[in-house]
Amino acid sequence: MRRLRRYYGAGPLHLAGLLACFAVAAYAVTRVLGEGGWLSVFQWFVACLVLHDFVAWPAYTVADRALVRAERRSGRARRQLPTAAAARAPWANHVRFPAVISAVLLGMFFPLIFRLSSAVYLGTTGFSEDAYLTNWLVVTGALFAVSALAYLLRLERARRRSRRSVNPVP
Amino acid sequence: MCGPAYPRAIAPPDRRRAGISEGPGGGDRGLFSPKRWRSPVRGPWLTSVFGVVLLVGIPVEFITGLLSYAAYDPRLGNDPNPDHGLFGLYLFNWVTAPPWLYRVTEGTHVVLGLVLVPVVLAKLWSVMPRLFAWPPWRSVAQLLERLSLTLVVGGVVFEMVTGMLYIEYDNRTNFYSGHFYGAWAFMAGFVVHVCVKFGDMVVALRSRSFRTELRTGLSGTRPEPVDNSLVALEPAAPTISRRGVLALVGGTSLAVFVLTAGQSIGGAMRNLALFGTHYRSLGAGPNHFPVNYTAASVGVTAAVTGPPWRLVIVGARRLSLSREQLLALPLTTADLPLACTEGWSTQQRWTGVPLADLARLAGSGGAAAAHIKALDSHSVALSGGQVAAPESMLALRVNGADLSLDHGFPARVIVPSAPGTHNLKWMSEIVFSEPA
Repeated sequence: MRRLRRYYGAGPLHLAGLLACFAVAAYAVTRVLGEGGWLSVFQWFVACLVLHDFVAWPAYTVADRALVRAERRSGRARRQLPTAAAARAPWANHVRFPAVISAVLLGMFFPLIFRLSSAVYLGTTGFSEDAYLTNWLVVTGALFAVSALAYLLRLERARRRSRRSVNPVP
Repeated sequence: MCGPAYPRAIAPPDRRRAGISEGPGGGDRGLFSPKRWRSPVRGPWLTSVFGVVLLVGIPVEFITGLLSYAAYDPRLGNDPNPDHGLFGLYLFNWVTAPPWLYRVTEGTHVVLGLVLVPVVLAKLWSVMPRLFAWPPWRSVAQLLERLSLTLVVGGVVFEMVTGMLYIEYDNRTNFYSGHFYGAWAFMAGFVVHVCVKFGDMVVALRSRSFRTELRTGLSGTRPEPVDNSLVALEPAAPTISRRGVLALVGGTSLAVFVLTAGQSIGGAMRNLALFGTHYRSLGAGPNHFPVNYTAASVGVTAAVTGPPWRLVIVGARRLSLSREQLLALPLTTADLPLACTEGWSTQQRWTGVPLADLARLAGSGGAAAAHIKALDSHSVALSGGQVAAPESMLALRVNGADLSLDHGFPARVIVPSAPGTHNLKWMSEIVFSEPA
């Protein structure tokens, strides 16, 4: 047992669990091989890993960094304002929220939004797939509008608070 | 949320001095350097909150997914995965009561699956530093564990992608093989992952009070204690609180729910399902509800459904029945849902001839199994239990009016709790046989 721990790095249950896990996965592979179009199943499995870890994640990370940098730049400018009210109301999250929701919707429903399945869609539902681009734009517009409104309210509240307080923001 | 390398680090000096920082072979290794990770909200607590949501949600997805496969009655020959082998060992004849069962299990499978997408993305974001951990492994155990994680991460994204493409009618993936076998491979990795990490998750969840987090705004947000794994060694100034992250992820899930669930729940909510495929209704009056496959799309025209149309029923004897003859038989009326594998559903009031009556008429007894065929050359096997169910019928009318052509005129089959794909439209033939 101690030898197992030394050479393997964990207990026997750990090893047994992982071997069982790989056995089930290997059995699934043998089953897929018997069905038509098995190659595409493996291609998509790998593509999903790569698309998430090396495309989607770096892309949204870079976008978020740009957003935070822009917010910091404007923060430096805002601190020079005489009222100091704006300094109390950072806006990055008012962009983040609608942008994230809109981007996730786009990622989830791009075949509808970009009409990639328009022929099947028409045959199945009797409607054109055109509506989804409009739907996405309307939802995105509404999300940004609500977020902007929330920001203006926040700004107004900050302004009122700074007018009332004897000691404005440090 | 933030990735690595934020511009201004605010590493508190005491953290630097804590000596936990670099680990063996610190220094600059690009993405593999632990110092590159700057998010001040990443940490085991936040990861565990997402984890516990998925710990509940993913088993529900797996079970409702297995039920959906069983609902096809693969053993009768309606098998999209004929090579299922041991993965079909649980299969049983699908039930007919309660009539809303498939509507609920499949609606849950699809809507919950969509709602979990933002949570999965957040969970993956929260553990991203582990992908670039250095050294990649310290023991064989860790190497195997990381290999099993490719099943978990690749599997969950694969299941989400194949599922979403399928419900959006994008056929570029091999859905039936991919989603079914992929689910088993994913669950194999998932179960091991839960077993290995469950203890850590409980400890992490207990490390902070959820309620306190919900009361903590941006100004009070501090990093979790350094754990040499997820927590940033040199965290940047926070730009979002932990409750902000939870609101962002929860809000995205809520948006997905509001914009899709209506096509499964129905009522006024259907109009809000702007990213569902069936939020609009085709047809007029009593036939005003969503359609699955228009008559035009499968080449069924009024020419083949007009007066010369006959339904052939085959049992001990063979009969050919016109629509008028069918309407003259004792009719039954029931409120039954159409529930598609794609998750959308709609309940309507159907009137028609009980399938058991047709079986008796053909001389086969009320509990015969049946093979049903339609003019568009679709065919499906029904179990004896499905034929015998009192509400199973050959529907001729809906909501008091004749079926429209798009809803299956002259006659369609409706079986309680069966997947929509078994409720064939434009019926042409029913062959009854004694159940094996």
